[in-house]
Formats: sequence, structure tokens, C-alpha cells
Amino acid sequence: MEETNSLKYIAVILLFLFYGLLHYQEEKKDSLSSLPVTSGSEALRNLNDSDFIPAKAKLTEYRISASLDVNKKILHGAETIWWRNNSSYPTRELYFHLCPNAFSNSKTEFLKGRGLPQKSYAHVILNEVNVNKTRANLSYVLPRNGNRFDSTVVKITLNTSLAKGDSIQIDFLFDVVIPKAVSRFGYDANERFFFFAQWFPKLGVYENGKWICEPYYSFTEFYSDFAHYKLDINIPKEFTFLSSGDVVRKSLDRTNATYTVMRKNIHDFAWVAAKEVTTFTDTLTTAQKKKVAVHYMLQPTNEDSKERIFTAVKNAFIYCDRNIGSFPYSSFAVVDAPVKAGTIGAMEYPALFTFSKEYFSPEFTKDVEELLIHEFAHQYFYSLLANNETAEAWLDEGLATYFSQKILIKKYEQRFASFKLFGYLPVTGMEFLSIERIPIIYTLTQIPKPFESDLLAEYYPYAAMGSLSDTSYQLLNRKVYQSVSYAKGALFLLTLENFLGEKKLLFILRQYVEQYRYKHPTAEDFFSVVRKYGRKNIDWLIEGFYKNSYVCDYKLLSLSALPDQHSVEVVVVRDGEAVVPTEVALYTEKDTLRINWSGKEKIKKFIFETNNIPIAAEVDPLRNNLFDLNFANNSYVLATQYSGATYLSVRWFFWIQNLLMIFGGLA
Amino acid sequence: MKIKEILVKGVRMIFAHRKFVLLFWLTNLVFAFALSLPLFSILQQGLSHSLINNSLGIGFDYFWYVQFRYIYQNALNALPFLLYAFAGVYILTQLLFVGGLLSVYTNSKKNHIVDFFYGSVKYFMRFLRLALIIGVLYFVAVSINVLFDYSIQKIFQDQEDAFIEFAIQIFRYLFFLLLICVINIISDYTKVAIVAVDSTKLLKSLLKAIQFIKKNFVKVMIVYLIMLIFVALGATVYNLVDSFVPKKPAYLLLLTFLIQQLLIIFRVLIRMYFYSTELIIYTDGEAETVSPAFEEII
Repeated sequence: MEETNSLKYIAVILLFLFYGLLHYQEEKKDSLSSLPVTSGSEALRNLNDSDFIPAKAKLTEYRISASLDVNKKILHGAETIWWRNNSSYPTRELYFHLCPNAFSNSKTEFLKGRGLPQKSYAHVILNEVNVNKTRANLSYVLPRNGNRFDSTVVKITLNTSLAKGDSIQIDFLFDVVIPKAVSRFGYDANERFFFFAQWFPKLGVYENGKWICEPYYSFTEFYSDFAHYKLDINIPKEFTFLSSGDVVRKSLDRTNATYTVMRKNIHDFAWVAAKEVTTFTDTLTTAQKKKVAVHYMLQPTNEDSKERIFTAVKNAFIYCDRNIGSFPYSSFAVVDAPVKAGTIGAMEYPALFTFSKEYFSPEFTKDVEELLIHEFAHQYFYSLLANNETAEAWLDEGLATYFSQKILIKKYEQRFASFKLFGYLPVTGMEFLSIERIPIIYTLTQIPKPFESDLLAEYYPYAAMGSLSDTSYQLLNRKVYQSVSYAKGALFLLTLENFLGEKKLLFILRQYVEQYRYKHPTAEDFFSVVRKYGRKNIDWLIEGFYKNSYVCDYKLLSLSALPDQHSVEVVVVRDGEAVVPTEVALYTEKDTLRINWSGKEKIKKFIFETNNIPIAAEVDPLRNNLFDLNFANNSYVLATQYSGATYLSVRWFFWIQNLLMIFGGLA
Repeated sequence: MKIKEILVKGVRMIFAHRKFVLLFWLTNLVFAFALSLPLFSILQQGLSHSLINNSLGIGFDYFWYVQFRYIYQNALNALPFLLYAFAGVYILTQLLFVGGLLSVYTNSKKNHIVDFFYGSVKYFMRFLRLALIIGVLYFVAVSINVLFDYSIQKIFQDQEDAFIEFAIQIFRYLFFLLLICVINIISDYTKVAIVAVDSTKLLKSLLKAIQFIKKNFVKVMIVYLIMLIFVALGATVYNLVDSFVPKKPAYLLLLTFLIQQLLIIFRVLIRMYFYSTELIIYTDGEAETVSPAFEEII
């Protein structure tokens, strides 16, 4: 009986043990299936035998091992960061960006109520966080507005304070749920293109005794510190790989390929894995005879545009290398993103930038060229200087736009106005009225469209809605942000160029880049360089368009010959608050007389001494002040003019006649 | 009747009533003038003493255009509504005139302007009611087009094949244009059917016209297409000639204006040609409707 009872007890115990074992195996199986092919812990062990990471680095070091599961749309990662407090201030905290959490729900700062398709939601899963190999706790840092739905910033509170020169090691084991791309990061509709940007836990910037680690805002970009990066990225071997780094090793197994990539002194690391794409490598040479490899990844539909793309990148490279400074990297990647992969295709990262080309994009539109050149120019300002983009985006976007305008003007002859027929096919001309995207009033003539005209069109509607000094992420909306950071920033520089001269401004910008490379300059730093080398007072420009969102319109009110027959009176009016030094010209039957004017007075009379018969007068005859809202009233001709207005009206009259014929016919 | 015969007789019919071309053209001119005057006034107000005025006569200044659009954005935003409102009134005058035109077409002995306006007034209310029905059909066509557009965009929002999407969108546009043409043809033939038998039964005439189009579909469509080809040819010739006219000196603008008006007159003639050929096809197909006076002309 006792024996039977014992057997029963043993059976129960065995059953429990068996159940426990089963449960344990299941748990193990689950955790294993979510781990990368090269498991995180293995990767962490491997980190220690790297000669890349010195024990006490002077600069932050990132070592990441990541494995892409294209079927589950998950990226498994193991990351080690060595951080050294290089500031004079101690800290007991570490702040990190967790940018993929911007896609975690529709109420984050990034999405702000914008709903997404289910597949486009994404987040980071932090499986383990260690500080100096001891388990650490994280806490979320809410944005300033207290948005509890935003989890894009976390912090670790340390047990001890880190003084100047102290180092610390932080390890993360994480998984990223990859979104179907809506913005900058994710995979495309055909699941053949996986792009990774702001994908790993990344330190904020510790400066002047505080951490700058802003949430992922809806329209601004980022701010990060320079670091050395070494990554092992494991992807299915049928995928092609490009990244911000140089590939130092590639190993293959039965199904996957692992790329070991490195890049020093960069502040972000982006990469792409794509299949059914074409890759090319081109070599460009700097003015100092340094070879730079350019790795292109093109969509198959864009192979025909290869030369066009190469030429645009080469033009940008040569112009920037000669005029801004020697290109900073030994290689860079140009990635052609599918058109419908969110906004992946128009972004810059260190040593990598993306673009998209629409299926119908004829060369006369110059849209691909403009995009490529703009993104290339970022390699100097976004990548090399790396100012705080959440606060002073114009320092990067404005400068990149300014240079892209200059390169387009110098390297490409002319651009013609165009519109999209049926919303798809660009044709030269202008469309004034359409119904259901069918043009009703239009012209198909070739109308030259200066490259800068887009800046004006973007600037005018929001001219008074934001100044360059406004904190970028606090601007009213994306349109105001673009108007201020891109258009106004570039117009600021173009006006500065007109005032100082092209040669001088390029010299100043070269000095600025040289002086502040890897140093996160601010607008004040920029202005100090302009003042130092420009040797002209630019306070009017800073006051009017940097510190304030002033507008201006200089207007020539009247022109009259005085009774003495030897002098002509010209009256000029300044509308708006901005003051711009300018010139007033008097055109007579025989010559042109000019007077410089500080532009300060609201109304100013000029007396020109001349015996010649006056014809017209003009304020700012060279259109140096690109902020002037109306060039048409800058001049005054004594004789009433009709030809232009009549010509345009006759054209319009004819278009209306045709429109009426169409409507009349339909009835 | 063969198509060639229809076309020849249609031309004869237009020239037998050529004085009405002037009426159609002048009406168009007056409406276009009324719609162009505000623009001229705005332009002249901003440019009357500007150096830009002269340069705009020679070449287009895109900077000026960007600024002009910004400065006058409120007026320019309201412009499409003004255009549509005027177009609405213009359509009413066309309904009035088409009644007159068809009535004088059907009776060559009454080719006087008084007869024209007698017919205009006589058929105006019938044509207006027809225009309302046709308006509903246009609305349906536009709605179908919008629905197709939405569906295509939905289908392709997750696909990268831009060429196939474009090809399908082009088919959508062609289908939409075909719908518009068919409605236009129905509208025209219903008017013809009303006038040919002096019908007051609108729906009956509409159904009769649809049945007629169905029965003579090939002939109706071929003649309609030929008319459209004439319109396209006219536009092409105009663009070719216009491209050779220099912009300077300023008086050459008058030449441009004359060429433009020739094209408009040509378009008026084609519009009249549409109706004359449609009337011939209809009366040929529906023999009992032919009046003795009408037979005389053809």
C-alpha cells in the first residue's frame, strides 16, 4: 500500500517535473525564436574581442549586432555603447532616443493624431538593459507638453555620478518591430526594400551640463553626438546591402549574409537591405586627389536615368568639394527609394542619402537633380557640422538649399515651368484651371522658370509666420517649418551673397565649415564667422529676418523733374518693418545715375542732379533684396506702360474664349 | 446617306446661315471681354508705371508671376468661381441660340434674324429642362470618374508599378471623355429631335434620340469624331502659326489677336457644323420628320 502511495507521489513529482520541463522548453523556444540568427548574447560576447573599441574611448563608441527577419518584419539587435563624459559637468543620468516608438500609437509627438495603417505601427522592445554589466532600469521622459503617449525618449538614472573624463558601458538587447514605411523608416509595399534610420537606442547630446534629447517631432530632424560606429548586420543573402559605413568584412552562410561595417566620427547610422535593385560604384576624386567611392542603389525602373543621377551627384560633389571643403568620407551611398515607400526617398544621413524618382520625370523638370544635389549638400552641414536640427533646422536646411540653388544655376542651363498632365505626366507650360486634373486653361509654351522662384513661392505665404531664430520644432506646422527652414534660410543666404559678393560668401562658408566641423555650431557661431570674414555690418539682415519675421516692400512712389530743369526728385517708400540697405537708380535718356541708401527711412526723397530727360527710376535695380515682396513697384516709369498688361490680357482673353466655347459646346 | 454627303451638306447648311456665326462669335467676345477686364485692370493697376510692364510684353518674368499670385491671391482664388458663374450664364445664351439655329436650319425660308430669335424663344424652356437632365448625367459621369480614380488609387497605393497605374488612369480619362462625348451627343440629338418634330415631350424626345444614336451608332460617332478632329486641327494650326508671330514690335500683338479670333470663329463654325451634320443624320434616319423647306436646302 505504502509502495503504491510512494509510486503515486513519485508519479506526481515526475509529472510536475515533466510539466515544468515542457514549460521551460516552450519558454526557451519562444525566446530563441525571437533572437537573431547570431543571438544577442553571442554578439555581446563578441564585442569584447574587438580591437576597434579602446577600453576608454575619447569619443562615444557604438557597437551593434543586428539581424533582419524579413518575414516577421523584426530586427533583432544587441548594442553596446561606450560613453565618456567629455563635458566639464558631472551627470547621474543618461538619455536615449527610441525613435521607432514614434510609430507606436497615433498620439505620439510624431503622429499627432494621424492614424496609420495597421502595418505601419512600430516600436522598440527592450529585452535587456545593462549599465557596466549590471541590470539597469529605464524610465520614459515625457515631452515638454506632457504627452503621455510619446515614448521616444528614455533615461537611466545612475547610482554614481560620472565626472569629466569618466566612461561607462551601456548594453541593450532589443527588437524593433519594423513598420511599413510611412516616413523615413520601414519597408516598402512590395516588401523588397527595408530601410533603417533612427532605429537603435541612441544617446542624446550632453552639453553644458544638460542632456539634449528631444522627442521625435513630426517635422524636424535630429540632434546627436559624433561617435565611432562598428556594426555586424545580418540579412538574407538575396538582399543587397548599403550603409553609412564602409564594409570591412562580409561572411555568408546558407541563407544569410553578415556585413561588418565601420565609420568613425559620424552621428547617426542608416542602412538599407533591398532586393531586385541595381547597384553601381563610381569613383570621384577630391581637389586633394583623394578617391571617394560612391555606391548607388537604383530601382530597376530608374536604370535608364543612371547617367542623369551620376551627373547630378558628380556636379554636387565637385562644386561642394571645391567651394565648401574636402569631402569628409572615403565613400558614400546614394539610395533610390521606391516612390511609395513613405518619405524614405528624400533624406540625408551621414555618408548616405536617399532620393526617389517618379516614373514620369523628364529631364527638363530637373526635379531629380534638385533633390540629389540638395541631399548631397547635407553631407557638409547635417553630417559634418551637425547642428541641433530640432532647434535651428535652417542652419542645415537653409544652407543645403542655398548650395543646391547655386549648383543648379551653375551646372544646369535652364529650367522650364511645367505641370502634370492628368496629375502624372509633366509637360512644359503652365496650367491655370483644371477639372478632374484635365487642363482647361493652360499654355504649353516653354517658360523659363528660375530655380530660386520656388523659394519665393514657398516663402511668401508664411513670410511673417516665423523667424529663423524660432525653435524649429515649435513652428506652427510643417508648411511653416519648410517655409522658414528651407526657403527663408536660403533666401537669407542668397541676399547675404548679393550684399557681400559670391566669392566672399563662399570663402566665409568654407571657413565656417572648417572651423566647426564635428562641433555642433549654432546660429551665433555662424554669424560670428560671417562678421569676422565679411567685414560688413549685417545687423539689418539678422534683425529683420533672423531675430524677427519682418517683411519688406520697397516702393518707388514718384518720379518728377523739378522746375529748375537740372534736378529730378525720386520718392521711395519702405513698407514693412525690415530694413535693407539698397540702391536707387535714375535712368535718363543718356545715362544711369545711382545713389546708395541705408533703406531705413519709411519715406525718402532723393534729388538727382542731371540735365538729361528722366525716363524711369528704380529702387534695388539688381534685385539684391530677395525678401522684397513686390518687384513690380520697385520702379517708376514716367510714361504710362501698357504692353505687358495688354499682352497678358490678350492671352487671357483668348483662353477665356476657348473656355466658353467648351462650356457652350457641352450644353 | 454617306458620310461624305453628310459632311458636304453640313458645310452648305452652315454657309447658308453664315450670318449667325457673327452672333455666336460676338456673344463669345462680349463674355470673354467681361471676364478679362478685371484681370487687365489688376495688371494695369500694378504695372502701369513699372519697368516690368514692358519686359512682360517681351518675355515672361516668373519672379513677377510668383509675386503676382501671392499679392492677388484672394482675387485669383475667387476667379474660378467667377469663371464658372459666367460660364453658367453663357450656357444659357447658347441654349437660347441653339434653339434659333436649329429652327432656321430646319426651315431655309425662314432664315431671318427674327426667325432665329423666334425659334430661340420657342425652344428655350424645353432646352433648359433638357440641360438640367443633361447636367444630372454629367454629374453622374463625373461621380463615376471620381469613384474610378479613388478605386485605382486605393488599388495602387501599395504597389510600385507606376506605369501600369498610369496606363489604367489614362484608360479612366479616356472612358470619362467618352462618357462626356456620349452625353454631349445625346444632348445634341435630343435638341435636334425636339426641333425636327416640334416636340414638347422632352423625355420622349430624349429616349427617341438615344434610340436613334443606338441604331446609327457608327455613323453618329464617325461624324462626331471628324468634327473633333477638325477642332484639334484648328488648334494645331493656330499654335503653329502663333509660334511664328514675333512679340516685338508691340503692334504685332494685333496680329496675334486676329489669329486668335480666326480660331474662335473657326470653332464657332465647327459648333454649327456639329448641329448641321447631326440634323442631317437625324432627318436622314427618321425620314418622316423632314419638312419640305428642309429638303430644299439639302
